[in-house]
Amino acid sequence: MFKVGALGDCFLLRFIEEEEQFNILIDCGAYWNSDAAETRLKLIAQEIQELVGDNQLDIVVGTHQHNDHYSGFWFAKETFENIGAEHVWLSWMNEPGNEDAEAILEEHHNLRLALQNIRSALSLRGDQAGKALLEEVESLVDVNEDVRPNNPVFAAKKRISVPDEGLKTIRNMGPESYLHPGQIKAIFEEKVKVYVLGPPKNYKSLRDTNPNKGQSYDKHLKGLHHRATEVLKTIEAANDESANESFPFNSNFKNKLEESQTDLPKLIQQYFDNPAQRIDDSWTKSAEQLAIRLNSYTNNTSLVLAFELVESGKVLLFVGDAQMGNWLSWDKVEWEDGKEHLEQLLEQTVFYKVGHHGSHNSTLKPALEAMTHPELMAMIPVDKNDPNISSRKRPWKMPAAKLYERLLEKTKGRVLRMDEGPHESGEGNWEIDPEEFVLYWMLEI
Amino acid sequence: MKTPAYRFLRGYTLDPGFSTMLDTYKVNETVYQIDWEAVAPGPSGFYLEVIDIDHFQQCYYDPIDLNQAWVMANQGLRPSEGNPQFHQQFVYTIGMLTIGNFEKALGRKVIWGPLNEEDRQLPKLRIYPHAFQEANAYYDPGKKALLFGYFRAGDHYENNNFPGGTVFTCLSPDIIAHEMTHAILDSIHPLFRKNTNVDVAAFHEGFADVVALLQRFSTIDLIKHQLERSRGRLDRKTVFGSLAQQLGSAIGPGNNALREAIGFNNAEGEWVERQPDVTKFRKTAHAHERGSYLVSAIFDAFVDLYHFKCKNLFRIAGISEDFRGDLSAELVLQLAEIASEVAQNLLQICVQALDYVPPFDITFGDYLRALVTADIEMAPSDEYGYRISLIQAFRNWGIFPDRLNNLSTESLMWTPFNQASVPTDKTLDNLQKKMRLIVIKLLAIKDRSSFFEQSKKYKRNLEQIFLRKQKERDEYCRTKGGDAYQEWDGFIHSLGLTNEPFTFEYKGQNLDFGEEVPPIQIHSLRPVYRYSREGRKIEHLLITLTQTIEVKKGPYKGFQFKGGSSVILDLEQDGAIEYLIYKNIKSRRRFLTQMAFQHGEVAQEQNAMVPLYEEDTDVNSLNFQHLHQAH
Repeated sequence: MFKVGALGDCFLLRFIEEEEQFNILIDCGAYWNSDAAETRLKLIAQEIQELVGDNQLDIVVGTHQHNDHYSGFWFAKETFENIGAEHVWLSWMNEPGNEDAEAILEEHHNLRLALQNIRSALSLRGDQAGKALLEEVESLVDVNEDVRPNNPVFAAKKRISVPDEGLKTIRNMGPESYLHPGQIKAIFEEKVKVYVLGPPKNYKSLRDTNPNKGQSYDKHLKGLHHRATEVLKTIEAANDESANESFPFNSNFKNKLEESQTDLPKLIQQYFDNPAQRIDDSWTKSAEQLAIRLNSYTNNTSLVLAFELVESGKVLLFVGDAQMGNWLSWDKVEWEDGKEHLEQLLEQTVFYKVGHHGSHNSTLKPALEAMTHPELMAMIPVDKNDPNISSRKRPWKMPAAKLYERLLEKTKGRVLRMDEGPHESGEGNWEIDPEEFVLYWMLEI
Repeated sequence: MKTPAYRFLRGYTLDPGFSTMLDTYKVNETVYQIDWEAVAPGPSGFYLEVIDIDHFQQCYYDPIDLNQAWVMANQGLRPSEGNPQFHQQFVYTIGMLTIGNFEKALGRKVIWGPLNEEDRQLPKLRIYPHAFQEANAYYDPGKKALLFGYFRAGDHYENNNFPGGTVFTCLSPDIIAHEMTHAILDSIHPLFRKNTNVDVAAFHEGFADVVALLQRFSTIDLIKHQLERSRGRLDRKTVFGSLAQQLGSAIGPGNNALREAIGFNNAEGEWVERQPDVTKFRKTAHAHERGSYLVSAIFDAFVDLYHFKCKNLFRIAGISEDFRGDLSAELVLQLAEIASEVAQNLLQICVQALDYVPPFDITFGDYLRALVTADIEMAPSDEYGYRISLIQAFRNWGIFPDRLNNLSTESLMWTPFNQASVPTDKTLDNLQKKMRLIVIKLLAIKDRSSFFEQSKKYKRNLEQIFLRKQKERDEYCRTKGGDAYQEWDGFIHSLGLTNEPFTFEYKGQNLDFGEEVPPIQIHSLRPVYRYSREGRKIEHLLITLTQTIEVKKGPYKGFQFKGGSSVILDLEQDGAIEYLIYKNIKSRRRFLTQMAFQHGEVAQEQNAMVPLYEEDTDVNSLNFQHLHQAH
């Protein structure tokens, strides 16, 4: 696990037998697009180049199109293209010409645009609740852009999406394959088998929320888009004083609301004096939910891979940022060999790459409970100094306390965080030297 | 001069859209009669405080003063969509009307719980008529507030909406009654916020719609109009169906159980009446849908009762089924009065049943049993067959209690408490004596906050008594042994509680609930005085008590399971226990049901937003905002 210096994933997996080795890179990105991020990710890319030496990577895996998984491929474009890869593994969602995938991506795209517009409309508002919502929306939809002021692309006023560019680099690194759930790939002279668990192919599972029977994913996304458009219209209208003059009431009725005013009616004054019953931000909930749902959608498109070491049967589980819908779909996967595998894969899991930096809804309880191997350990790519965790008004809770606690119990303390290293209570064959490596944590299994 | 008994305020009978339709404009305004109380501008009274702030628009609207001379002289402001002050008046009116209906049925005052457990001052229920721009309205139990949204109607909304026009949820009497009911139900049964089985959320929804529905049929002017057009017949399709359909159209899809209870749009977009189906209820797990079956059942009972009561009138007037002419105005008025009376009686029965349900983990089966029991108490002779028609309607819609041999009144009603099973125990004697004293003292308190404060003190006292008894018992068992406490143990058990720590086995492991006996908590303690529709005077003391066990470690850490009961004491019989409606804390069956609901596969799929590793929110609680949002 590379220390990307923020929320972000970058894992190098190396299978070794005697003289032979096999290198797989899974994602490379950090949440923020800054000069510091660029420097660090470039260093990491060079380190990866050194680690693989003269060879290409055997496989590069892109799990899903989020900045914190792909930005490294943009910042260190040349290095990665130099390294190259024997195979590029992406999910079926990236497959050109796949109609289902394209329809979904287009909806994603529209929704994202709508949210970007909401973002711009919100930035014109001056109130606290509006600012808080803006922060929320920005953190979910806006980080994609490379907005470093001294970045030539930005200076040329070109808008570019970092994850999109990252994906281009990944594609350039070698010949692409698009993985579908149910596939089983043998690699490293059949010493390792890779089981593809997600992203799900049925629409319903892609949304993580309450699926109503008979409602398709597409229709639901369209519904969300409709709501986003409504929210946008409303916020824009509120900004536009002339349009808003008689909405919802004639302007004669409207009294300006500012807490500092001294001439407020007694009742309104009382309202401000009693924080417990105030409703300042109730209007923001709808847009906030929209933004969060969009994010879950993309997370649910994560490629999920289980690497089985054929000889020992041990399994390494990489879930990207998969959320509920993705996890729930695994036991419906139809495996190409016609057998059942899920139960055994989870039972044999000795390494779990914790989903979505340890957020509360990216590890499915029953699945974690099913990981019962005595050697189980887990890695969480989380950084407590990431502003999303350290300094937001409503900080992200990563890792979620309850999940973290349960992970420690399940692994007997063998949990390694990107920011803090191995947990002090870890016991057993946790072979790691925190001092030795500056750029990454290494674990031997 | 004496204070007047009533305040008269004008308002809509249906959604404002109906005022612009030739057919309904005449009946869409009425004068509501609500109990008089002193109000400050807002209106801000004893129960409610309307605050008209719109943070989104960054403005507020001046609060209406209902005492202003010209407002008084005109029976309040004239109904108007364009005047926010009328909106304030209207949410207050329907809010007070709903509270009045509950208080009449309950025989006691509605008291909102405190914002925080420690608070000495009780809040008023806040009403925000223009809280946000969205087609939603909800009750926020944390803020003790009702929030109403408004929105521009989309062009796609059909029927009586003016495309692009503004729709205010706070002008729909049904929506206000619905949200008010959530708040009142929460004040009576706060533990119904714990989402412990598939019916809890459904009950909250369904019950709120039942109240809205029956309140609507209590408005004589409105029914008169409908009966004229349907020649005195009430059935789902001809009259109510079309109304409900139009109502639903303003709010948009997915937000209206009231509408779904009556019918639905088929694949061709045509409205079809929903037919009773015994099998469907059992198969559906969606809160709104399950709730709508309750509404369907009550609506059917209403229609049946109405026709039963009107039979003679029709005969006297010589009106047969195939009559084609117009009914006389006198007949219509008579019929409307009957419909209104039936609606009011049903509303009373439905509300009174709330005192006969267990204090948590309610199911529709429990509610049916409560309906029957409450009504036997209130109206033993049941001249017009209210009970029978309710039982029949529930049966037709497939709502039955679990594990029951038949649906007779006798097997449906809760078993009256067997007096012989009360242990001869001086603690209990003392308890009973104390009760009488408590009732007398509580009844003397007029101020709501002092009442709450005082009753809290009594509740803590009672808890102490149980605790001391527990200690005494443990000490005895440890040192002496023997069965001196056998009777007491039996009594505790009959309350659904336990005297000893215990565990449940789940998936091959004993869950760790700790080694302590969970403390007994007294939640409510309310004297009740009411008159039934047969004129019987009822004096009760209601007590609810629970115990909660919680998993201490392992994968189910934090999982809570409750046992306990609603105890009804008859004050006219020296405080003897009349009913003891309990849920056993040691019930393995119920434990497994709750586990499956909260942690099982079904739960994972249905509540995908819920039980993962969420931190600070209570993941097993209802979220009213989400409950109402269209999916």
